[in-house]
Amino acid sequence: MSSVDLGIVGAGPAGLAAAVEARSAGHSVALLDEAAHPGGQIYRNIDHAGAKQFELLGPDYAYGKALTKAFGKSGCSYLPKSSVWHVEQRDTGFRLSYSRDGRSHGVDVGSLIIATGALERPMPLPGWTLPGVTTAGAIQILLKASATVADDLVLVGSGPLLILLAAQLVTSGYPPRAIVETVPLKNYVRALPRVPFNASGLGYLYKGSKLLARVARAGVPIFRDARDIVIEGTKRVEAVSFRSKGRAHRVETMSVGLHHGVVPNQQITRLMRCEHVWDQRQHAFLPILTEDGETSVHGLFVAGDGGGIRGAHSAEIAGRLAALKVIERMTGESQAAVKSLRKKLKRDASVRPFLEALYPPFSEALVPSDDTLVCRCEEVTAGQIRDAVRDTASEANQVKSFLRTGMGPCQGRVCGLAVTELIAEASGRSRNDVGYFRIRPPLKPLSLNELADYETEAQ
Amino acid sequence: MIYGVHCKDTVQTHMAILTNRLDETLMYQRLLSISDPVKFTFEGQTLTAQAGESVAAALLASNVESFRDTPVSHSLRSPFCMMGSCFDCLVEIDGQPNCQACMTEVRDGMEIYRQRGEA
Ligand code: FES
Repeated sequence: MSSVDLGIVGAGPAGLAAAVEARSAGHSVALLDEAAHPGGQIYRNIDHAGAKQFELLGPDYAYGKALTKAFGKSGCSYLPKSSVWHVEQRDTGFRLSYSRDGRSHGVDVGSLIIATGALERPMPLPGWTLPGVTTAGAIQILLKASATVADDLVLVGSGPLLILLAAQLVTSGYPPRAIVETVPLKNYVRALPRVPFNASGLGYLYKGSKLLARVARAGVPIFRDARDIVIEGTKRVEAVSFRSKGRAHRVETMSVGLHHGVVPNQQITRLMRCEHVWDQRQHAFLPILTEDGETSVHGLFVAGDGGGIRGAHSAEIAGRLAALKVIERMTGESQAAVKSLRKKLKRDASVRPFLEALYPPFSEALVPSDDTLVCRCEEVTAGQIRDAVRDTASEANQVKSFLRTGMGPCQGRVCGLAVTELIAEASGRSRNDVGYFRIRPPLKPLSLNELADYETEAQ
Repeated sequence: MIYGVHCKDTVQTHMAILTNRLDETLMYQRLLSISDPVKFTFEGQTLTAQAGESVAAALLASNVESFRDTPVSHSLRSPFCMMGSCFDCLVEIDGQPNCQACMTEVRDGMEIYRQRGEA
């Protein structure tokens, strides 16, 4: 079993920045990541993307190149295609078990930084399981990794990622067929007082308005204040129907991209029983963290969107900050850069209150109609969950054992928050009381052979 | 897996792919033509992909509509997240069921089949 000073999970901006920082102080670092190449979702495929992708994805994507370059030179031990399926606390830190090419291995780490980023917020609408319906993030991954686009995509939902994707598709020559936007009109008024009047905040807004202008110039129809959304089809998606400003619409399409924000990926912090708390503004559970990202478990840090959604730039700063804290612990020397990084982090987050007020989750997807599937793996509907609550289940884990929600291979990655939300609605209890699924190892399904081989090896 | 069922479905798949190809609009379009080809089969039909991409991207770019059916109701599914979290992209690769197509790099000679129900 190999061992290093610092283990990092995730090769997005937070993980890469943390690795470079810790390496430059001379510490041994292992970085594990599920993907084949560094970059995370935001800078996915950055080292292999061609001129076409850079043209479409713009300078914010190209920025990631500097990060992967510095990482490549850092001397960090990099474990791509490695999926962490267990983390255990040891006297000396943590042991990570991971699977790579069908075989499992272990590595012991002194401190641990979780930089596993965000997942799409579940968007259970009628018909969301039909082939041809994806997350907006999935469409962007196709663009980044394969320069492939959906031909007649209808985007449904709201948020910065939706607008960014629409603008990128316009540039690609395959503009979306329509945007079905779920932002209630009153939100524009509500968000106004939260406009961040500082350079960083205004910079973000300026970029956003340029993207919107690009989409508008291309003549992409935007249906505002959409509700009663139904994705239609039998064997695959055929159309999206909805009402917008009092009128009924039906748009035929073969692809639908859903998005109403992203939420922290908490598989590892939940597995480690770190404390989490409901955050009403982000409308998600967040791990409780110190200013520098340490969880309630000593030596276990979270950096980036996994600790609360703040975007790629903040993730990079948070990664450095967490690494500096780890270095301070190991060397006993306080790190001069900590203070300025904390300040930078605050400044960069100043646009968030505005975005959170403008783009809250879509109410119809938070409390779906009874016959809408919520748990995609075990095919459990919203109605079944409400019935379970009526029959006295009032916690996420009770519903899980009654209905198997969250017991399929995704372990609640997709439906977890939606289930919490529904139980809260049906029982009238707070989300903190309802809680979240208890996450158990292995985090990803393993074959029994792989497990047996690993256990013999570890003995 | 029962061999007879498998064969019948292969024919259907073939038809589905063909009709799709004749359609004016395809679900997905490549912006770049394939420069470094990889040949693999899906349900017995030979398809081409760009080296380095995922099995899921390769199948979507070939306009394969469904990847699996579900254990509970046998409804059809295709990739939803493309980032390893939803498991709706499960396929059988070279005899091995439960492979996440979005997390597996496509390779020359791979034989890929739909995953049917629980493997
Ligand atoms: S598409 Fe979601 S896991 Fe592959």
